[in-house]
Amino acid sequence: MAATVLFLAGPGGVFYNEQILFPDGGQTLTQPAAK
Amino acid sequence: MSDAEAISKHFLKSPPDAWADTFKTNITSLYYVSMTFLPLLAKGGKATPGYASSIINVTSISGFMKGNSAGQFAYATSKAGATHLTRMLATVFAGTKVRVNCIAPGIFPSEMTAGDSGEDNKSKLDMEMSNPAGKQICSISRAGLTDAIY
Repeated sequence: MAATVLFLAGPGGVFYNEQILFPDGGQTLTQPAAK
Repeated sequence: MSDAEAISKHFLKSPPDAWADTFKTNITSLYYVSMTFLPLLAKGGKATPGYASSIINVTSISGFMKGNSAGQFAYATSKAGATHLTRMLATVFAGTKVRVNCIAPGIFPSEMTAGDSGEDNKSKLDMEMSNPAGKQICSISRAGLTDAIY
């Protein structure tokens, strides 16, 4: 989660707008799309 | 008692005030903080070439799941609203050099997900993969770690 914040706030995140990132651990990663 | 009666009785334990508090915390606050800081963020975005200020909202995977999220209807509903608010703000702020994105974490150890915490204020979860479909695309197969939050 912290790494995701750093990514969005860093140089690589400059091109990201209106995106939803899912740091998940694999517990529920596909469930929203699968159901 | 029928299933319907049991479900109704259980979930009516969540009073309207608790719903309002949850929405104030998870949605209303995002809106007012974003709008309040917009002029300052826009100024920062214009100050450095190639840079845009950034708002990062923390929503939740609960906002995407259709189950009852362990009985947290208000929480999950508010997080879905916060995710959509992120989309709206990103669209409205597009011309101001302010980006708006959100993070929707899955399950991480916290007092909310684990039920309690130790003297170090840290909670523990030792969960196996609950969704078989997830195993195919994510090899970690565990909940998030407390250390990864900070």
